[in-house]
Amino acid sequence: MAGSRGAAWTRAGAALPARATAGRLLPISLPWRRNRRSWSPQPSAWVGLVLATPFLLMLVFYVIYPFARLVQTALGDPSGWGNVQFFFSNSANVLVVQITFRDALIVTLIDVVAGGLMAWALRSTRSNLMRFVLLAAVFVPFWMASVVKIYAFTALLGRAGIINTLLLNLHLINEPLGLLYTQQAVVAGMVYQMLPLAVLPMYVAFSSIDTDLIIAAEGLGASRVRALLDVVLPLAVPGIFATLVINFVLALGFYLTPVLLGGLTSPFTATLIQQDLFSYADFADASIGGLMLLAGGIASVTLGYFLVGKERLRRAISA
Amino acid sequence: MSLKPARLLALVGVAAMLLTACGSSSTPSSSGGPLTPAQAKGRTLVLWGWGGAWTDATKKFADHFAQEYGVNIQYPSSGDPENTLLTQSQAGSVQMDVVDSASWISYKKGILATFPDYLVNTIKQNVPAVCVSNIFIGCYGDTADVIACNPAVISKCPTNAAQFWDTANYPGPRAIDAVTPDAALLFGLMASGVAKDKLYPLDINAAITSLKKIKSKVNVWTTSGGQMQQVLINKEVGIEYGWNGRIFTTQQHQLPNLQVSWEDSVVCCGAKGGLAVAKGSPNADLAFTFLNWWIQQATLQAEWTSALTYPTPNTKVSALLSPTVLAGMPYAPNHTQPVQQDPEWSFQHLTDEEKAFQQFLTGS
Repeated sequence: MAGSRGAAWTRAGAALPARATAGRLLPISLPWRRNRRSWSPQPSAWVGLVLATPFLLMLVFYVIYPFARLVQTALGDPSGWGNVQFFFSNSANVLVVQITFRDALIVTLIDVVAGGLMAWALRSTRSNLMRFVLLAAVFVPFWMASVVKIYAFTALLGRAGIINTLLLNLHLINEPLGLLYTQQAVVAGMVYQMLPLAVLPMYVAFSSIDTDLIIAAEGLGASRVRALLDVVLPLAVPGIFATLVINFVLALGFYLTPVLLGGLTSPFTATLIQQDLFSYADFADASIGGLMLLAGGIASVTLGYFLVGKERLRRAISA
Repeated sequence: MSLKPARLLALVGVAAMLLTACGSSSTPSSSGGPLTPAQAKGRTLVLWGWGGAWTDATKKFADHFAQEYGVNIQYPSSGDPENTLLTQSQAGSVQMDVVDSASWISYKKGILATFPDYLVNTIKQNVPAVCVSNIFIGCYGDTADVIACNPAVISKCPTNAAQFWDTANYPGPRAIDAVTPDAALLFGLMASGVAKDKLYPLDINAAITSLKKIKSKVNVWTTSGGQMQQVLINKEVGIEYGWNGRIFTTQQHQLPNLQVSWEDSVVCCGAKGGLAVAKGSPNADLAFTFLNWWIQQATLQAEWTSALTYPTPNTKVSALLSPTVLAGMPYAPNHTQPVQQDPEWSFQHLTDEEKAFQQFLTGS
């Protein structure tokens, strides 16, 4: 048998390391040759570089170059660093940047709490119907285009919308409520749109938690709440932090929802950027607005990285 | 639109250069008069437009010129022709002849050609004085802001700025055009009693003070033409200061009882915008000849106007339009003439307008 003969030769070769010529006669590589020339699952640095070239080019053209232009525009005409001063001298810019970060935080917190509960229900339910309903509630809106979802909110919140009509018909109000074009409408619309993005990563994180741990904790005398808080929650923390960061960064850049549900009187930074570009041709102001969002995003990703990283490290050490 | 305009336009510009690079031939422009069909025969004219229905209507119009003069007309388009021209000018390679259409900003940026005397003379003979310019075929595609009111939602309809501000006697949800600040600022000044001939130089502070009085009663500050229609149709508002074309369309298709008042309307921009010729155009002489022909075509202008419900300047057009279309035109003789916005003033005060209007809207 060829296979067994090969194996025998290999063993023989290993036993006789001095026979350097044997390798040429044999169709297999010998252990003392392996260090010099052999197939390895790890490609060389050059192969890696060539394979990564398309990605690196995309990085240069779609990330580094636009970013350089963004900084260049922000600090270019008309007055260099004075542009930054001008940006902050406009109280509208200051207020809107504050609103953006505040609302993004509110939306993220609501979504992580609500999404966390949904994700845990999805993880722990034994009812197929319950799982189906929860999955549908997460995925159906996720598959819908955001414009459709936002217009559904205008149909709900409008003066002649579903909520106002209902309340008027029930004689709970005499005048339609001004629900649309408010901060609350923006937050509601964003919470709804971001919810799947909170549920899905947390569901993945929760799935890796062994539910037997709860039983074990209860067996050792813990209540259900205590078992969840002291056993499950610490295990879920990295997933929750990661979800917080993802949601916050995405929420910062929201554009359509604040435009369509908030309007000009309750804008987001992205709304202001659009105004700067299309109504006032003020590219410096628009670029600085963009940099503010970028800085906020990078800061929260960095913070999240350290929080998640540290937690992972702690778990690794204590395991 | 959520496109990044500068990058997109750069791409469009490059693509356009590639497309038209082999299509144009240059002949030194003959001064004195337009080209004759014999001189123009076989040449190519690039007429750059907005695309969609706009370019379709323009093509239908200009194809008559192509036949009459034996020239080949190309109709490329982009979301914003004048920004495309700006990109091409900066790249040092202008690939369009006629810009359909351009604004005052393009003129201030020095990317539009000055018309020869013969063309200015033809313009003077064919259009009202308010539309005459040596840079633009004016009063072309102009949009006015008018007061619209839906009697199904509003018990008593305001017809002028003062009544629009009088929310006690004319109650109901309102919207004001905020695509650019100019119309709202002028509307605010008119509401506070400033005479129409005293609106410029525009006092921004006085206008904002007036707007602040009504801000809490304005439900929507519209940011697009589509939204102007949507808020009326959804009954989000019953009273609106918005674009005449959008309101006309809404009246035609959704809300036939919609009332329109031209009393305190404003329009942009008369002689300070419209069809223009690109500076550095490879076929400027042919482009001027085309405009010289275009301005005299009352019947074709009336067809273009009927198709798009945007105005064209020839004095004979009004008589050729159906009464319905005519009623929706900014310069129709049977209603109050709108106040002309001054794009030169806006160009000089854009930063102040931006700051004041953004602060006003955000309440900061």
